[in-house]
Amino acid sequence: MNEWLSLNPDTLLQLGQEAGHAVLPTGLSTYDFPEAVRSYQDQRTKRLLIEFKYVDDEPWSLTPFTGPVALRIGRNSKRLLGIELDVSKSHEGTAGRETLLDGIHQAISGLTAAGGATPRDGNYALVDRVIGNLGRNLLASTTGQ
Amino acid sequence: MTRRGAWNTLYKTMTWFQWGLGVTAAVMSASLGVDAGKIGQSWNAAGKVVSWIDAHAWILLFMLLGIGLVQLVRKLVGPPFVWETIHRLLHHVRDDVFGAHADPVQHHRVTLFKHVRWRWRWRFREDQPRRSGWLVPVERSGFTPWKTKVAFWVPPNDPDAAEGVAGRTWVTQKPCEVSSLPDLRNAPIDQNFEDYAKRTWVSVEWLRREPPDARSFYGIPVEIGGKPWGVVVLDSRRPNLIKGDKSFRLLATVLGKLLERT
Repeated sequence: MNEWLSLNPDTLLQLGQEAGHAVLPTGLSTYDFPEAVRSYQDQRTKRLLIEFKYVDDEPWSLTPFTGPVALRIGRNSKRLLGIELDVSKSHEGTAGRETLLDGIHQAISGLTAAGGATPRDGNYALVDRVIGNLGRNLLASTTGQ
Repeated sequence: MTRRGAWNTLYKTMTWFQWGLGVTAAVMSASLGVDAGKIGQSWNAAGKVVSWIDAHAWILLFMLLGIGLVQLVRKLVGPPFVWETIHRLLHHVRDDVFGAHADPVQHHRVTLFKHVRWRWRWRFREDQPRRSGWLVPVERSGFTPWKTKVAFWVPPNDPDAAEGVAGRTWVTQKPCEVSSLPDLRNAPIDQNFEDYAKRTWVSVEWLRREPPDARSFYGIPVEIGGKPWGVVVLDSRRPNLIKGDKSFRLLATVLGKLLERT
């Protein structure tokens, strides 16, 4: 899924919520909604990347890896702009993908847990919801499985 | 038509001034190495000019400094076409949200507020000491010239004290909707003032100075490159009219890109 997949804000709000995923807070900012998502393998780092496109662009910083997962956080807004996955052979197959998805969910949950309630909880919950619903397709299309 | 007329004139004047400085500086630089005597043999006046430039070459430094300062002023003022586009954009959003109702234009408004650290005021009242952190109006929808001195205080160290729907939107960085407010014009009783003040995060005294006509508000945060820049506030004289609209998304997208140019 190297090409951007458009995400409709209305659809995002209506998406079925995966068990255990964060509940969307009320009054989300327009800027918190990812407009599109794509996944691809970075040929230089050999990592799997899941990127989100927003209304506005900004520089990002990479969090330290938690297992195979690191998150790209916007330097100004602290929004979740992307996910880098350092995959290995153990992540191949359906079980491996589920492990990765669980790792992503844990990492996103950690953003909130680390700082308590933040103004970006809505954004993290939205991204978590996107991963919960599209994550398998995003990973499968990238790894060709 | 907005109150930016003077600023637009200043921007255009600065552009011409900068252009003039640039051309003059280029001509002076080019003539520095020229032999004034040789030119003077065939064109006496030109020879005198070149000679004068040679003797006053230090002026070039100030001219280059002037070009930089003018560029800074132009950047602070912002290109007129950007503000004209923002004005039209706000008006289109107003039409998208309220267009179905045949009310006068001033009954439904869209105002862009910019967050500034300091605000210039000619007079200071005792109850409003000099304070930092303000949301000041910079553009508004409509066809007629508008003037408003209404600005909202957003103290950087005390978010709970932020004034108005604009201030509330700023500190939460989330949309803020307030509806079904009392009609202060036709029913100016104490209870209504207190209710209105409580629900719009302003004081009763603030409201009594100039009772607002609006009965519903909707605030939207505005960002540039992930950084908060200001807020857009929609207000309407109808009590239940403003709802989250798809045009807000377009507004946020285009507004951010336009404001990057200012």
